[in-house]
Amino acid sequence: MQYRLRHRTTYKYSQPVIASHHVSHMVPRHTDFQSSTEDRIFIDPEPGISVERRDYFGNMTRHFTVQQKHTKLVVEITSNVSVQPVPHLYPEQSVTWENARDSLPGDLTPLGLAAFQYAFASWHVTPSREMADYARVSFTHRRPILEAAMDLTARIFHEFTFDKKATEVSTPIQTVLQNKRGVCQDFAHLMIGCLRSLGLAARYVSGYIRTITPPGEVRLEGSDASHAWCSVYCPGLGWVDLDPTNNLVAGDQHVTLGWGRDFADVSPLRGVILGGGKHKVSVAVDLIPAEG
Amino acid sequence: MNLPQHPALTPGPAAAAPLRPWSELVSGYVPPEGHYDEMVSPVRLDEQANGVASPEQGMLFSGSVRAPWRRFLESVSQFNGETMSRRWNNARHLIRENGITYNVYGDAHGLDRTWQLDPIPFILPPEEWRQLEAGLVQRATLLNEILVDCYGPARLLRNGAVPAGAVYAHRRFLRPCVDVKVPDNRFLQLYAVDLARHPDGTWCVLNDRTQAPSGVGYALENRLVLSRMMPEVMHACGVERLANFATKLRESLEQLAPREDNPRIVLLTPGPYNETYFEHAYLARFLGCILAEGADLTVRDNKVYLKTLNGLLKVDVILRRLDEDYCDPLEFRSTSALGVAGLMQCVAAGEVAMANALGSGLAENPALHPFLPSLCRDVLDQELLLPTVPTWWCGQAQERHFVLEHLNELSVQPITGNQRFQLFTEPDASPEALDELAREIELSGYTYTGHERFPLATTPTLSEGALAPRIHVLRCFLIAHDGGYTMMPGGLTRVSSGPEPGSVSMQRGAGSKDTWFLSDGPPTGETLVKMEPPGFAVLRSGEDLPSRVADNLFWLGRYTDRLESVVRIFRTVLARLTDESALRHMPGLMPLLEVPAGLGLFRPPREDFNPEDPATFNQLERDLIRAIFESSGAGTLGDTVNRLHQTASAVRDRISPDLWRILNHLHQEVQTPEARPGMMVGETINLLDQMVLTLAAFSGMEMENMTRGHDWRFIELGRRLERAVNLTRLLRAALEWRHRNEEVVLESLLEMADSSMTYRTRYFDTARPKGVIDLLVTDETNPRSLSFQLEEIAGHLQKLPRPAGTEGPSEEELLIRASATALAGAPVEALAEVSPPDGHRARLGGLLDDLSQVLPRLSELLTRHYFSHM
Repeated sequence: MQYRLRHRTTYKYSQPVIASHHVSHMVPRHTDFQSSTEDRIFIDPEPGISVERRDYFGNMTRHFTVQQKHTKLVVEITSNVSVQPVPHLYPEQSVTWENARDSLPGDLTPLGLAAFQYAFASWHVTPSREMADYARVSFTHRRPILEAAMDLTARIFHEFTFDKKATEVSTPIQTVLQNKRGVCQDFAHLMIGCLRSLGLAARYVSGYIRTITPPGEVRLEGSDASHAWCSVYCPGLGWVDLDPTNNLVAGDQHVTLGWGRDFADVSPLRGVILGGGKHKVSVAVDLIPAEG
Repeated sequence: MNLPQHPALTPGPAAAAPLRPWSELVSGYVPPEGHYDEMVSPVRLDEQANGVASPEQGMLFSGSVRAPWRRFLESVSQFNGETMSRRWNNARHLIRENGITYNVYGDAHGLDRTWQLDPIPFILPPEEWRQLEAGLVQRATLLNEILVDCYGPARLLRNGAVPAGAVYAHRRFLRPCVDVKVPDNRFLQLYAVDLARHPDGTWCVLNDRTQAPSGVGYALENRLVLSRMMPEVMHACGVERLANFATKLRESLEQLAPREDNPRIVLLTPGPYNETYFEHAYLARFLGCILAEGADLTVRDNKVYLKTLNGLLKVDVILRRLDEDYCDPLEFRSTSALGVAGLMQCVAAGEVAMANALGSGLAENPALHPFLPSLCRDVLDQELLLPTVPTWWCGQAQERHFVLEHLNELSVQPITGNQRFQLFTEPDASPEALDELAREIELSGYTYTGHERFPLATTPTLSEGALAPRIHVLRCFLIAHDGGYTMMPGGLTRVSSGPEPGSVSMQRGAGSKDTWFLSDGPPTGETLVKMEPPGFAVLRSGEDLPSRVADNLFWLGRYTDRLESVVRIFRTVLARLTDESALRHMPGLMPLLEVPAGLGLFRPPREDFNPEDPATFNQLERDLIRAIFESSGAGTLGDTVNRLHQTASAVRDRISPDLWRILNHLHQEVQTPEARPGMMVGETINLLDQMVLTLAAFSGMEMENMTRGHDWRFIELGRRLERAVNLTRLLRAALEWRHRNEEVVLESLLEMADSSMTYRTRYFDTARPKGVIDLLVTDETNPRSLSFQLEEIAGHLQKLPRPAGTEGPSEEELLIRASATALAGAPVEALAEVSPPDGHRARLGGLLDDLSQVLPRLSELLTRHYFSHM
């Protein structure tokens, strides 16, 4: 699947900003199933310092500092992204979840070491006994890990209500679990928390989902802006992306920007400004399937 | 908010119990069983009472007292108890004079609690501390290598020598620091370690302090106090000196700098609310670096700058006392207001060096303890010299099981606890709490460790005039120097506050001791008392005065004068009320009440107020007194005192201990239980009188004891500006319109503006408008006149630093000169002239109108040009 991606973020400030420091995760990550060409980033006003680097999790980041007075900041990324469909999965053939849990600490292979770090608490996701209890309904004795994880994905999709007004970025997942409401980010965090509470490795994937719904199909939630989902590590199989907001295995409808332990590691754009007073932010995302 | 010192914590010098003769002190000393004691050897415990004789009889202490303590006791016995008591009281006075404090969290009386120092030192003989030194140098080297590896090649993770879970689960494993180059691979510039002694006398490490270790300043200060108290004893015992250590610390910080010539070093502090803020201010002064808060620093072009009066000055090295996850809100903790946005990028770009390096907190991880012996062999090819307290990490199945089985007997800690100064957490173990803990350990065992609990060793401590055994923990300090580590030949010993063998924690009111490492040769190096601080030459007045400090000093001046103004207004009004001719004067008082009312200090009496009616009159009195003690609402007396105290706290390193004491005093005056709305008028006036005197002490101290640098200048600017503002308001209320009983109004005005005496000696007459206007407006020789304030302000403005390339008077100066000229050009007759129909003094009104625009504008300009470099 080929996409033309355009993501434009505009900040408007009530008072002039003297200087602002930002870090962005906005360039699509290259993966086994995804590549991109003509990545362009446009920042206005032009930053005095702009450095691209790979972060600890392997994502491309850009640190920039706008050092001239401004009342408006625009950051726009455009890219041509190509995504392959995910090969067919055989959930019932994956290892048992207990086996996955117990093999992680001793797995000193690069893949194993890299995966293991996603089994721990992070800024937005702290394992809890409540989440462990919720997860255990799916993770029954010796059940294959992927089968259990897909069951958990389906349960979150069915038992939780997509509600933009229910939460904010800072809402703890404990509250999401209690109120059974939230947005894609909350569901991703919740699912990660459930998996980590069982000792499994799970990571947060930041990206987009296609915005134009083919005729006759239901419009997918999260399509008007950034999207997020969860990825679970299945030893022998690798990472499998599951989208609890839409009850899907993330495939070629999903474009990946990057991943980390949770939102705090890969938020598309954040910053600290000096001055500025109140601010308004508007985000416009287009993910349009390319012709042909 | 700062509260007055708790009386129980700061007894006056006379309160210390007199010391008994040394022989009695020792013979009455009985250490508890099962603990190692520093002074008395347990094998000879039964003989101890017989073995100790009084020095007056010419006998020496016998074998049950350990050798270094015999040296100490023999030497100290040359002074009788009275001499020692007197010297100790002097020393305690010094502690308060120097304002040595330690803030305690969550304690209403906690802020600025006086540092608790015990006069009996902690003593270690050369062979013992040399052995500790070898072990600690090895440990510092090892921990540093572990950090280099975890943030770099990760060989130890890949070969399993460090379990990955112990690193991944630790909150201080800072991902953005991975692969960031650290100068000379020196993560640990300053390393502190807490040590305890087993009952068998062997030492073990309890905790490592690797990210922003505290205590060096307190150790130096303790030494300073004891070397004043018993210099002869220290000399006789041959105590190793500490001053070289401070010099080396400064040197090693300079070595970190990316550029070589005269690097600028700042000490980054979280600010006055931090528990060890005193130490930050003290160390900054001692090391000759600038004390900076996050808000004092800013980032441009991947470089860190200090915002100063002269603009932005590049910073080369940051000695950090701010927790690392607060350092850069962009990278670590988006909610922190204490750090500097973009700092991490400057570190990555090699433009600024941090001590300790960001990420160093990972080495505080107690989960690493069980692996240190094998890591030491792997990394250094050596056997670990100094053991760690036996530790079980619950990230391993077998160990987790062991801890769960022995929850009652072990001390359990989260691996990234907020431990700060606290040393040993004993679980206050109710069965419910233990059960909850067990469930948490089962859920996330990676984040817990269990530690062996053992009886900590005891050391003699002065308690109620006698020696008593108290458990102790020793903190040692090491610095990276010349490619290796050097240990401070001393340290900070903390002792429990009571006899119960509980925890030792400054947060819980424990005491501290000077720590004497006895020399095996003649002591080398300068003494602390004689030594000039190593960075002495670097301190220049003014040029690098941080903008925030200038801002605070400016407001210190403003609040002081605002307070004086409020106090004088209320005092005058109350004095008039108690006057027996009060009723006759009431009509003349009404315009005066409008002054505090207009300032929001006081709700004015209603229109139908009848001064003849005793009931409404009493109500007025009560309202006034209530208004005086009102602490809510901007500009009220209580509010001003609080702001004054807060502002002063933020610049403690810039004001003298005496000034600080005066400010403390003021704060206490309004906080005393007697200072309540129920006070009588007379009592209230007494209190206000007292405050006027205290404020005068402040002004006197400021005028006579501060060098005329920019810091003094900003206090003065604030004071003059505030006085001009208040005077303008007073004049508008009292003189702009002619009042019916004008002479009463004018008398009160003179009193509020502290010019009654001058007026009377000049005119021998009742107050008349022309004379009052001359004295309070145009007379440039009266330090209470408007003209005087404007001239002073203009003079100070002229001397403020200007951006390079600017010439001529500044915008602020032009502004104030224009007003001063207008004022000088107005003849007194014209100002006093009243237009017949409405009694308005139009010319005076116009002048005051102008000033009430100009003065706030001036404050804004100062803020923009000097205080808010972003």
